Amino acid sequence: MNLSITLFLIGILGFILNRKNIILLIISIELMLLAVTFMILISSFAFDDAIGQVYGIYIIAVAGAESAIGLGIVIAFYRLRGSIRIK
Amino acid sequence: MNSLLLDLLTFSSVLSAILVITARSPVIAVIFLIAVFINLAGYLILLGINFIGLAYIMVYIGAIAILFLFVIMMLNIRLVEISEIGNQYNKNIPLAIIIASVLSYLISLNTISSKFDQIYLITALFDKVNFWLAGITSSSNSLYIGFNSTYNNIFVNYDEVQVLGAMLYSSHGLYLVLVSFILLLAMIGPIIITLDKKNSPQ
Repeated sequence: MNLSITLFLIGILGFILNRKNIILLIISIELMLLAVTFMILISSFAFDDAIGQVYGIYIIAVAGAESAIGLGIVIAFYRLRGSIRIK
Repeated sequence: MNSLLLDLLTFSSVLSAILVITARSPVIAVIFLIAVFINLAGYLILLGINFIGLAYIMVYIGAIAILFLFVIMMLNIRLVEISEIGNQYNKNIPLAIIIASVLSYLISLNTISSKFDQIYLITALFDKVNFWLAGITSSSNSLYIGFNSTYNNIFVNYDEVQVLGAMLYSSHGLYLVLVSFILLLAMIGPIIITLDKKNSPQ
């Protein structure tokens, strides 16, 4: 549990510190999502309940969808501006 | 032995997560992100959550990280932009410190109890007394007594994948359909976003 909280904090710090680089923003979002999924899985293991793992499978699917859409937006942004820098 | 490995995986996952957000080049960041995924998958597999650990490796590394690498190499980012970004790194540090301290305070308010754990002290004292008097040791102060995955297999021998499949396809089937629609949306959405109508041959 402390590990997932630490990873979530690192994700938030990366989101704040690298506000100019949009790819690192998406990577930080991915890290935060990973931390939340990890906490759900650890809790499901501690409570000995399998529904948390089913929920983890759903979150993994949603994470794949999220990263695909985010990277599609990055490519559209690059095509419009010619650079991925955020002012 | 197992606990030592878990500690090692924890340490290296936190270290590679820090290296992800401080990396100068996005390719290095994605490679350390793969390291974080591998460490967490190893942690889950060591705990006993085998299927999800393997799904982590398959989905996160095989799909998401490769997608990131593909996009980074397709965008052809110049290193000059990134070093310009590095100059403005120090400007956001006070905001980062404020948000991190507030968030960790709020989390520790709810999860970590600041009271002294008296029950544990009493059980540890009884363990000592039992050991001195009768030579009996108890493993009650071991961390793994709450995390024993072999409790499930005492009466009926279920595989983990059997349990997950029975829950996924019977009582939670509607959510599976919902997830399939989300994945369909994730397929159609980027196609429409990145469709270039002016330069296409039609």
